[in-house]
Amino acid sequence: MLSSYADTIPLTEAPILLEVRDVSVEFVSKQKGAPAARAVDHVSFALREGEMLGLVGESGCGKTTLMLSLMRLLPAAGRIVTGSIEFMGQDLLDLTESEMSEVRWRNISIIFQGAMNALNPVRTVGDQIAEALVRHGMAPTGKKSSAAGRVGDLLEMVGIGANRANQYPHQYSGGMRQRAMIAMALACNPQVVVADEPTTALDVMIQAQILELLDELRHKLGLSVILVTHDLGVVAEVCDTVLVMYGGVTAEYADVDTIFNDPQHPYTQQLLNAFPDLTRPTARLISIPGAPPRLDNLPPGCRFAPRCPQVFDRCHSEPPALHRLSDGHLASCHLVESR
Amino acid sequence: MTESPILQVQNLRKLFPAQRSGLFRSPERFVHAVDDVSFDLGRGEVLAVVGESGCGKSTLALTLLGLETPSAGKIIFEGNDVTSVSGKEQKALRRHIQMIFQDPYESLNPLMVIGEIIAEPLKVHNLAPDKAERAARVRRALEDSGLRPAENFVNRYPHELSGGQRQRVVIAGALVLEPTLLLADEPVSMLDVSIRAEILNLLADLRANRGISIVFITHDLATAAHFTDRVAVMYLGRIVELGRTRQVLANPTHPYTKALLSVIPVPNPRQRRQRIILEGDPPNPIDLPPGCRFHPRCPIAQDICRGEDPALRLVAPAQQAACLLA
Repeated sequence: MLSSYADTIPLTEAPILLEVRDVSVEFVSKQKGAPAARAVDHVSFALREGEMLGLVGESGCGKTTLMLSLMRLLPAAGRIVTGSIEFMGQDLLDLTESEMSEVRWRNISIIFQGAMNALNPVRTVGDQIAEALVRHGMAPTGKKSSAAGRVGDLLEMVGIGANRANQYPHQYSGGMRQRAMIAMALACNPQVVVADEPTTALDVMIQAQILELLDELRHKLGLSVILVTHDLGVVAEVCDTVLVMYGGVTAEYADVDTIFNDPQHPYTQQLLNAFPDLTRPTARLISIPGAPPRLDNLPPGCRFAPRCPQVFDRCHSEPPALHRLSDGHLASCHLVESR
Repeated sequence: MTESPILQVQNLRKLFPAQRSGLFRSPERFVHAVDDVSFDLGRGEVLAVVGESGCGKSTLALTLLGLETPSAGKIIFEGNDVTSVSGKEQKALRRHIQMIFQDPYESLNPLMVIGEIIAEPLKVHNLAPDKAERAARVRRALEDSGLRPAENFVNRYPHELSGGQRQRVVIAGALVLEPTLLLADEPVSMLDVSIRAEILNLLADLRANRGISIVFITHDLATAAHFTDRVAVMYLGRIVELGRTRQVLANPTHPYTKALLSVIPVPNPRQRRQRIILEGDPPNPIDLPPGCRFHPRCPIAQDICRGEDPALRLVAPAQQAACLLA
């Protein structure tokens, strides 16, 4: 097991801002006597200043659970059972709830999945952003009216005219609502923004607009971004590093070029083959037979074994460890070990 | 093409009355959902209809299916004008044109087992009244949809199946009537990436084995690229470019097609490209811009684009585009 990822991602010299080590999350079952389901199992990654990390996986692979753990916003049945989450040297898991609520928004903020439908329909967009500012002590006099200037600046920053602060969410298009959610996430000048599927429900053109906005903001504000997505194309366009999850574990973790041009885990390879690539329109796409495992019914060995084209005996009995292939390239597969 | 096309769409128009505002009756206004759309679909051909939300692609499908009555234009199916058939005739027509909807989680009755779900259309159409024959047709539809052996599925409920399997059930429900034309509205957009390919491959097989013609509606040009023969790109109710898929992808001529292509993520970080990102959203289809309806967002628009509404015209062999500058 690796002690630190500080030396595994040799991309930039930028300091590490957030370091997640060996985090496991379990959900208690409602049924009496049923064992807890492990949604995330010993996952680690590091995020540097100004870096964009892509967290990739299919539904149910644990990516949203991992992000909720980071914010300590897990639902009541979930708990973090191992590991640490260090932000600027402080383990977030040691903080009290009131200390943690300071970290949320001010240091780490999250844009939730489907967030464009999360705005309150009966209040103006500006009013909702102002409320976030007041609640986190960012309004000069503590009143919403004193936050108006900042609300306008935030909206302009995401490409919405400040004059639209007085409009209601239904007067915004889907793309604008997502921009407003980004403005809200940036309200308290966080260093890290987690964007959970920020473009999933949007059209390709609006998706491109939002990605460009995130990329631009990260350069302008020096933000670190964790982009949670199932879309590999999006990751290839904007991310620096990539963590591929499967069934709650790390399948592969590397810089973006390695993931796309030298993937070592069969799941990463298959996922790339299944992705329609316009530059290679072959007649037939390669599909991965079967479906991702259910958390209450995980295979005993490697979690990808039932769908893996290169499976052999050992995969069915023994879960593979996370192997280090080179600096900054990790993969959990028995095949990688022998190399 | 020596054979006659299975489907001919001629100047099809579907307008919805828009809500009137104000105390006094303002002049009646319309949402131009589908506005003067024409195309032919060959037997066994797969046509992609690509565009952003609100471009009219789903309304087009519903109109072809007879669930919406066209405001103008003609739909000719198997040589017969079916533009405004109703009642019995329409029911008979439905047997031959089937639709696959987007969401396999919401389009299956959770209280029925798979066998009953697939048999339902046969009962509705009074086909195969004989129990054994009905069971045989249900089994064949399931197996043709890749749910093999069918016996393992007929007695299960939808919640016991994965998303990919559910979409196969939806497809089996369409196939059991042995249609000649399938309308597939975003059939893979709700599925995980690893499952999408198998559903697309299934549709490709149905075309190859049964000779079914398919209209494949999607907002994703990349998905369309892989198995469709021709592509129609729609913008604000109009087809703005129409041609062979490979040719359009390799040589897009309409600036909207070019922009759409440029923003499709390519899964290779070494090929990060210059993207043509259009500003804002498509205008609302009630107050259409004068001239070319794409000009307010067009990166190359010129003065003449504000005055003249371009029609589709041949810009290359078998490739049409509606652009004055193409």
